[in-house]
Amino acid sequence: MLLLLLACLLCTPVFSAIHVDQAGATDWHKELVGTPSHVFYTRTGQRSQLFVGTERNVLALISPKTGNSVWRQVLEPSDDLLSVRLGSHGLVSISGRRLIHTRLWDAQTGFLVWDQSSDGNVSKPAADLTFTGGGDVVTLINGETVTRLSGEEGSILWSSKLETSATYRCIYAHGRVLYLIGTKQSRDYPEVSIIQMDAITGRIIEEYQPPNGAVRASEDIFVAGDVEHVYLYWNGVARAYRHILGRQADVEEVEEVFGIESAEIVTVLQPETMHPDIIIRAKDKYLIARNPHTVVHTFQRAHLEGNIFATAHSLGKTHVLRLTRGSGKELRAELVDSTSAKAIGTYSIPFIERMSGPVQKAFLDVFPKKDGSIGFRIFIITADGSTKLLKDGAIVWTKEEALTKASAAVYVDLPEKSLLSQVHDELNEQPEETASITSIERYMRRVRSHYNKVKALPERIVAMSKYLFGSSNTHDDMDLRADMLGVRKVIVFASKTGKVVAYDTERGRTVWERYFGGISFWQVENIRTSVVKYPPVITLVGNRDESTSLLYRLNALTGDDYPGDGSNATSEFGLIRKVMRLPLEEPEDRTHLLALVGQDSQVYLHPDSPVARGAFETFLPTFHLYLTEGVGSSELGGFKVAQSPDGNYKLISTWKVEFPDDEKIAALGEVSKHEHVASLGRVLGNRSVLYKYLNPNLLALATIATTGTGPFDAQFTSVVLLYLIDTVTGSIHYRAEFKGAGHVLPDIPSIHLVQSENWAVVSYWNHGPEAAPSQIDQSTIETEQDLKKKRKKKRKPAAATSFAVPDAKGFEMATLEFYESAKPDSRLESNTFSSFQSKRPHVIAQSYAFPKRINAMALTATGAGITTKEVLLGLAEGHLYGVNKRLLDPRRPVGAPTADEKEEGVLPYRATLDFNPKEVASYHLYVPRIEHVLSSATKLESTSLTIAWGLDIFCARRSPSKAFDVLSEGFNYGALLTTIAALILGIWVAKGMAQRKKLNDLWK
Amino acid sequence: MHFRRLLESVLLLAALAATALAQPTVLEVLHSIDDQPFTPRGSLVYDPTSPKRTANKYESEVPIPDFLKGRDTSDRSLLYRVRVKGNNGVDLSAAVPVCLLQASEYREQLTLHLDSNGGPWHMDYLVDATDCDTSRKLGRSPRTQVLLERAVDGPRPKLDQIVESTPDGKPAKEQSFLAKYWYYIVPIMIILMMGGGGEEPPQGGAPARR
Repeated sequence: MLLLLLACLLCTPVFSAIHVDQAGATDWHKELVGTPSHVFYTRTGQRSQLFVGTERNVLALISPKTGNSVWRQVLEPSDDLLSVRLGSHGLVSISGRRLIHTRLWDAQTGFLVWDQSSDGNVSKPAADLTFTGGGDVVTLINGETVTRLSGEEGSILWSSKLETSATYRCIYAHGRVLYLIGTKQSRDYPEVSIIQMDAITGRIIEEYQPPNGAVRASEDIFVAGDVEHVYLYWNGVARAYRHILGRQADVEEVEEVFGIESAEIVTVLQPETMHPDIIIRAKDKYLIARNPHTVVHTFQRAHLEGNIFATAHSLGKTHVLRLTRGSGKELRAELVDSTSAKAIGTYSIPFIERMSGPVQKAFLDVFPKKDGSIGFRIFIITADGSTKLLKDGAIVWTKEEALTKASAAVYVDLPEKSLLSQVHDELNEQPEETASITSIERYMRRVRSHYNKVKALPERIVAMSKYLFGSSNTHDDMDLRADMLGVRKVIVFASKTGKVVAYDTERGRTVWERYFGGISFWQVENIRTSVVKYPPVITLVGNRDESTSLLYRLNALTGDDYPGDGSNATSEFGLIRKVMRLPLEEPEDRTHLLALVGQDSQVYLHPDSPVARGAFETFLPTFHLYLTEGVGSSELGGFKVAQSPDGNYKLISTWKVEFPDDEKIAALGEVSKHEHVASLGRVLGNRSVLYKYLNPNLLALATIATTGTGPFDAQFTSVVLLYLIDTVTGSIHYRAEFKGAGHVLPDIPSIHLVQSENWAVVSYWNHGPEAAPSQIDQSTIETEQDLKKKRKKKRKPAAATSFAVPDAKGFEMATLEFYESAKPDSRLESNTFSSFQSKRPHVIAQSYAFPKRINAMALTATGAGITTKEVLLGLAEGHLYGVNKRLLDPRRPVGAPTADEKEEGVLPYRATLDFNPKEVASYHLYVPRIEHVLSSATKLESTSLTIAWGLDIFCARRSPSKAFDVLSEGFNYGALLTTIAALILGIWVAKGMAQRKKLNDLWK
Repeated sequence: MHFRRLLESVLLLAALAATALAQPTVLEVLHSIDDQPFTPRGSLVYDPTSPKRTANKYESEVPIPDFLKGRDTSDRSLLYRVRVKGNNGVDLSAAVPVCLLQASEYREQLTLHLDSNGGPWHMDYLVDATDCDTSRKLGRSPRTQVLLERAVDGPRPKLDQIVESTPDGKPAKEQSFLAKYWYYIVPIMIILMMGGGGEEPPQGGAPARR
């Protein structure tokens, strides 16, 4: 009865938002833009501005003081940012794939001024743009279409399609002439090719290839200019050359022009503004050379590592900066006034390369200080893809833009405070230790533990009172020990750029960071949880190239190699397909064993030791695994592992599913290994129980089969199929098709799947009945079950079982629950469960329309699994949204509910899941491009810690069944304490009175 | 658009006619243990157009106990593999542990999954046992069940169910105003009747003052 009451309490519909003062109290948000591919660091008087266009298709104006964005425009993932330029009207961008957009953005507000679109060619993505003297925009799209657009309105003034065998990548305007620079494939090397066009009419004046134009790559071509001429430089196959554009045969050797030896062009300063200065490397020095033939300054010691150059044009002067690598813990900056050819100074800036890799690009801003001297800021992009701003010999801010490419993350529980851990440690004693310790020693150890506990009691009381009065979040010191509620953890992100960052989940502060050059990480596993003697350990899995995978073991609290001496911290393998954490521990280190499935169909153990092998071999008979190439693949294979005569472990195929009808895997769901199931069944209104089909080997999987090129194609059809596959036997327990369902567009993934306990939820886009494939109507082929149903129908009308494709385009969410039997109180007739048994699950399914575009889907996680789950959705409009599982119940009755259904408390069916603004976890915050959501249980059963990332990182706590185990903020502690005190007083008074009465009675 | 629909209807009729004329298909069933070569076991007949379950059956040539006779099956990891082959390019296989097959008393279930054209593309092979304990024999006779499975229609939002409905499927009859609100009206009427009206003041004069 008590359990029923508790279940009813938990099932009470709870929909709660937060108050204004709660925003940001328990959640944090890191706004990111991605690694900049286009940077414009400008200065107007006292004000400097940093405009960026990034690899994640974001345009933003960054505040150089804080690193936060003043504005940002997040383009669609398929709207590839191809070119950005800052002009007098604002920021102009070219982006897209099949459809190319040229847009003008207001530089100060980020508002879109105009948008001009044209057809794109995916195979020729090159695009560039330039400005004419009047502020008009001239674009070069797909390397073949030149268009002049009005700077104010974006209207097309003229457009010209080039008919040439050369490929053009850059466009420059000089007076009335446009120059298109590209390459033409020759016998051995591509050759520099130039087109001269009339900027007013778009007429091609001439196309020519200057002599000695052979280059190794198009990146070897540079353009610099002054008022009179535009100079084209290129590092030829043997020597560097200079050519004045428009003068066909006029080609000079750079060595002769500047009187130097072994010249190699390094970069051009400010190519966007046609600056005449270039940087040339000549043997052991770097030169600032100015057109037509002057060497302005010489940087000595070219052998120094780094050599990144930046320039700034402000205060009427041009300054050039050279950044070189110091000792690995500092950067060396040399600043030169190139206008007056004067070296200003050399500065040392602390910079730990181990954390972010070497500097890849730098951008300079020079400004006058109050004392009249010159100050400078440097915006740098490091090898990991992150950005930093350096000023006055220090790092002002860092933005971990590398995490916009984070592919995996893992939560790490912090160690308990030593007191509790000591007890754990005692309990966790090894048998050898138990044998060697005397009882006196043991007694003394226990006394010591109790003494420490008593000593720490005041601190504990203070912590408790801080929690009760809501001030636990005010301290700034980072305490890497578990807190009372279990919400303080470390989350480790690993990115495709080799960056690994650990944040604390309480406030999002960086705990540690590391950079692994050239490694693309794809998985992180927590292989040891923390106990006092042993720090938590994680293993990072990444690929160095197409044939090598590496595993790194790190201390999760410090980021240092584990073991500390560096031995066995890094392991190299051939290409790894899958990494699985086994339920086996290495006895010495207490680390979980990992099974690695190689591309060579071998299974490797990590760490590999005789003891680990022994444990693995005992585990082998029950070890089954499945492999797939993931989304886009059309097959799935099941395997077991056997030991070959040479002692290696090899895969043995046990089953294979090759999907029919050109189906491709669109989404895979898998039950979390850490999930707890609180109840074996579902209690119905009439007190009977539907038993859950809890098969740990059940995999929910969605495939998609399409015809035609896309929704705008007349031949387009799309169908999504949902499977339930047993991964031990390969048996397909359920296969349902959703006709007309698919992705919104081929390059916008819209099929998402989550799986938990005995249920799964899939989301997809409905293209409507016109996209449903026409095929042999399977419904006309009656099965025996249909015949039986017909017979039954004569007695009692049954609910319709055929589902029409809704004639309404939009997102839909289908939810499935699997039970052991369709009949309540009926179970599998065995004490054991086997995947090979012929009893299949009974599936109940229902579907709902959802009004928003879904980008990601995940589930909340709680310690005991008692709390109702919440399906977390990353919405395309920039929100993290929660849908309570009760709303996604497939047993919601269609029509009026029966008395039993009312008793059970299921909500009546509604075809649409309304958008409830109160369930937006990110409240008013804009969290665009959520691609991953990861939840972790806390010590509070009601609360799940959730982190969403993709572009930004957002961390919040979710309580789908409301915080039933936490007293509300408005709880009157004073009244409670007064009541307790009054009761104690009452008891004391009553006790005295009772004693007196008892004594008096005895005297009578 | 009309032409496309017409074409689809014609194709549909042609496909239905083709399936109606289709004969039951016979597939060869083979078996083996672990990596050993497959040997013939029997034949499987299925008819994707027939609504009767009995239209799909297995005809045995080599009973499994005979096949296993004389072999060492004590190793619980040994797999009994079944393969189904046909002239129409069908080649499907599946496996169960030998001990489970023995514990089930050779009661097995072969499920052919059919694609959109009615052709088998995957096979499930399951047995009627959950553990390898052969001590609890029930004395059941061996049985091979052949099932056909097609994709079912996935549930879709019932956007037309917004019409109010009752458990019997018919919309509820609209009640009259009195039937709906009688429990408000009756007490008000009683109160009004019980209370009565006050005496009317004399005509042309003001109410009496005390």
